[in-house]
Amino acid sequence: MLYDAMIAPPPEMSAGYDVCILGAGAAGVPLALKLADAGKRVVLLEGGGLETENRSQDLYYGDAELGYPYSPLEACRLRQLGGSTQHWGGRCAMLDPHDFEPRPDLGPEYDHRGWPIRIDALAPYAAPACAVLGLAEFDAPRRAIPGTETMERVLYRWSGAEPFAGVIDAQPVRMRERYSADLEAASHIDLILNANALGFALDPDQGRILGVRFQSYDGPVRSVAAARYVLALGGIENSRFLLNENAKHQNRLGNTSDMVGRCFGEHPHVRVGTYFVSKRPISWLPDVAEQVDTVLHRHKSEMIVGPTAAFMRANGVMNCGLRVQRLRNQALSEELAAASPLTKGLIFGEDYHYTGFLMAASEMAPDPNSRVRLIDEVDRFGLRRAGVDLKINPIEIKTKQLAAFEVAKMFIRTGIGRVWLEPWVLSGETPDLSFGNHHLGGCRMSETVETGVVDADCRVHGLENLYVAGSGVFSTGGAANPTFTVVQLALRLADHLCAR
Amino acid sequence: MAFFRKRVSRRSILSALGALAIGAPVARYAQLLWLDRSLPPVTEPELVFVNGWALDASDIAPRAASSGAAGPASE
Repeated sequence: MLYDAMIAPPPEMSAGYDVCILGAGAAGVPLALKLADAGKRVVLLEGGGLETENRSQDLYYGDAELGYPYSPLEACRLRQLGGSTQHWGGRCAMLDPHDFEPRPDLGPEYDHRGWPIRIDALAPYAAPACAVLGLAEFDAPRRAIPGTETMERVLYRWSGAEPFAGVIDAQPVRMRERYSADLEAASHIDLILNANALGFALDPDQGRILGVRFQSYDGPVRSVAAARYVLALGGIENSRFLLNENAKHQNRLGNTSDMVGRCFGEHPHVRVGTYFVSKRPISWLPDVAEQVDTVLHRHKSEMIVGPTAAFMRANGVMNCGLRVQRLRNQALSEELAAASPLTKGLIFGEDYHYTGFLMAASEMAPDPNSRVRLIDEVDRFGLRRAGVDLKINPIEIKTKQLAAFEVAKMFIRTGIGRVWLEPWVLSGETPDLSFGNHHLGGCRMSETVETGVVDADCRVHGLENLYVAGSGVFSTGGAANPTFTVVQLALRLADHLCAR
Repeated sequence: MAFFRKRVSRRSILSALGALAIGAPVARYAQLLWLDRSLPPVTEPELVFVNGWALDASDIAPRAASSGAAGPASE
């Protein structure tokens, strides 16, 4: 059932809910639907309405420049039914097996423990996540590149891409459009829009959440109780909510070791170079089956490569997705063509036929100093706003550098062309980075409260009935776009909650 | 004319069209392959940087010296 807190709350708010979910986005919606399918009674509180509205989006304002300048916090996420799926790009990729494993080679300044789970724990949820996000199934994150031992091809799919439909026109699955009718029709779900969570009632002795208070934009404060609670507010907002709550409850909400908000990361994006291709009939894909698959599923004609686990460990770098962007039927600039004896004599259309750009989006090492904090300014509900203190470390630059060098070697090995690298790649200076709006960490999954916020079941350390869903629980970021993993984790959490 | 109509069967017309549909792109593909002057593969690249270009060592010295031109582009 669908309710709007601006109009009236559901009539049976006091009735016992099994689960209360805060946030109806990429994690909250599939979680609620799966729980309801299993017969659980769910109340789903969404702070925004059906559309993006200023009064809701205003609550996302914060300070994005406590560290490396980050995207404006009110622009890089959406506060409405469907959350940030309402503006996501739709690229789906899986985390790699080695993303979960410890990295003792990283050194003491980074948390090198990896995840308390392995990729096997998420594998059963790959096919269901494909169904949720509307994409053709895929069962492996990577494929080897013949003749190359340092790099592999990263596999990905596009959400909403229909066979034989132009992928550029494809509409990624947006949770509101795809699932609002299901949410409304589900008798076991009470979805309440414009219900802004204000805080928890906590039983400190039992380590239990007793209820959650919420308020619309002009109504009274109400509360709702459930057996268990799930924060699915988004990567930054989960940290912000917990930090605000911990300030009231003596750090009892997973923060006894001051880990809430820490190890916040992103996928910094930057152009690393320009390439030319000296072959006319070209496919990035090595075998016929894959080429057919590509045509059927209309991937963009773009290849993503990433370093192998052995290469990462041998060189002390993180994961990286290096995008060999679409071929353009366009000559090199005169300046670039004149820059080397090899390229000086090349004739476009005879010696080479395509050019394109190389873009790197890489993983950040888990740095406890990179974090979401609270700033002094408060929102209309009196909650302190979020600040992002993002640390870009030398390892992030080295990761992109070495990946770029390996791709340049790949072009030489295959004779397919050559690569020109941006000046920063050779100098090692930090370039101007942009970001993927991937909010990773802050409530990271860990064995103990000393190194994270939630356990392997996404349950907040030290509390019996509070869980976190979303990219905030990522122990490491990997190089994959996170939405697919967010859905996998949400479906896994639903199974856990049903089993209890 | 009757003789002509008997010899040109529907099957042969379809076969000819089918052969054209398959043969033309294959021939075009082969032509492009034949025209291409792609760079030679290098098993063990040795990166050298020239004004930002990541080249193999062989892109600069040996070929330029042997041909008197600017590398494989002139071959």
